[in-house]
Amino acid sequence: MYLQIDSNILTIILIVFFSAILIYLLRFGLGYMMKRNRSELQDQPLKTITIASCINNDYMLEREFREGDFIGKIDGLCPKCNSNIVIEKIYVVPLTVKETKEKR
Amino acid sequence: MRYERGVAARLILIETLVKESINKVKNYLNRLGIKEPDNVINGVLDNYFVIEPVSIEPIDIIKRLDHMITNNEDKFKKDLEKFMPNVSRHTLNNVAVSLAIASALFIVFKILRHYYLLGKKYENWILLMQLYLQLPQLVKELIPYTKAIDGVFRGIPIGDSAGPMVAFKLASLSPRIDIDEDTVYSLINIEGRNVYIVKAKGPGATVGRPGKGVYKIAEMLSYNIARIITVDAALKLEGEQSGSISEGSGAAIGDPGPEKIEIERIAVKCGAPLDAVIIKMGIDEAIKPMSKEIADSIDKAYQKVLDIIKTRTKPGDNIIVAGIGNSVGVY
Ligand SMILES: [Zn+2]
Repeated sequence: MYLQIDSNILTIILIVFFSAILIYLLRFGLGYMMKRNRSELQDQPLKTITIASCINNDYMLEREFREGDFIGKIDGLCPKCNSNIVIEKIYVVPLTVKETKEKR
Repeated sequence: MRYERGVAARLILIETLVKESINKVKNYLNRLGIKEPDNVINGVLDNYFVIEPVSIEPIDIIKRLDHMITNNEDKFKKDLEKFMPNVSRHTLNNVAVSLAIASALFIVFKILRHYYLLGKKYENWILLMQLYLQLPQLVKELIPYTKAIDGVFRGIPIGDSAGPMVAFKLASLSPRIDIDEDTVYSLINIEGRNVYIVKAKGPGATVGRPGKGVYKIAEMLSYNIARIITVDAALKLEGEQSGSISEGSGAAIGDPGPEKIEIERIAVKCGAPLDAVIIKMGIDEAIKPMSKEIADSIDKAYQKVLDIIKTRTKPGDNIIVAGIGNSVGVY
């Protein structure tokens, strides 16, 4: 049986409408899957902090981790009492970037 | 069919993880100036397995296991030394641990691929279905391992370094005396007590041999020891707070057996109570660079150890404190 599409404007509108929905769903679904895969592998941006303090406990400094740092390393002299500054703690904190907000 | 495709997709993801970690190791080796990093990596990936000793004859089983683990480690490090002769011991230990992580990932991948191919070959849908259901969890558990490599190479303490960090807080910068391979001790005085602090030799990535260390110190003091305290990171139950401290009895150490039994035997021989102080964390936190939560809990664990020493021992006593764990980034 021959479909008289050109004579029926309603059918055309319906076909266009449904194909639009189909394309939208496909793209949405694909995008969702890709995003999930990516987010699993993606690194959460981290920042490594080094905390050092004077052995007389009158001075403390917090800075970014440098290659070669380790807990117990003597990291210069105290500006107040001239004794050694020792690295006490090294840890990572999540870096809060605006980028993550923009993506959503 | 759906299972098969799902498993294949996840396996590809794991394969990229393996490749990523191998590439990371390769980059770091290049940076160290190693000429042929591929040779080093290929030489490690498929080798150095340990076969469990015969267990139907229980006599000496722990000695045999210890022997094999020690031999294997020695062999591994000697071979690495051949490849990179002018590298410090600490860097060598960092390389060794990173390679061990990469090869562990590779082995997991190979096993999973084995079951996938087996399921496909014999059309065993139950096998594929099991893999399909378990893989999401496995992928999530494996991702931290790739991230751990960066931390270890750069010398950032990991969650498992909690024990050595408590030891550092006790011993501070007092001299480290070698007592066994990659293991050191320091002698300090806390309100009249002689406290021997055992830890792995930092700041390289190694767990040392704390059991042997404790054994040798006990021998040195002719078994005159009032108390032994072990401090270690421990796996929390899901829902528990990361970095919470808990205290109990026994040897807090998670090795295959030889080190733990050494500490237990010494405690029994000396008639010394054996305390365990644990710092709780998730499995991913234990291998990733240390989070602030756990770094802050070190102070609490330190206070707890001090409390035990001050309230449960007398001045003049000999006490051993063992900071168990990986001493990457901790002197
Ligand atoms: Zn000062």
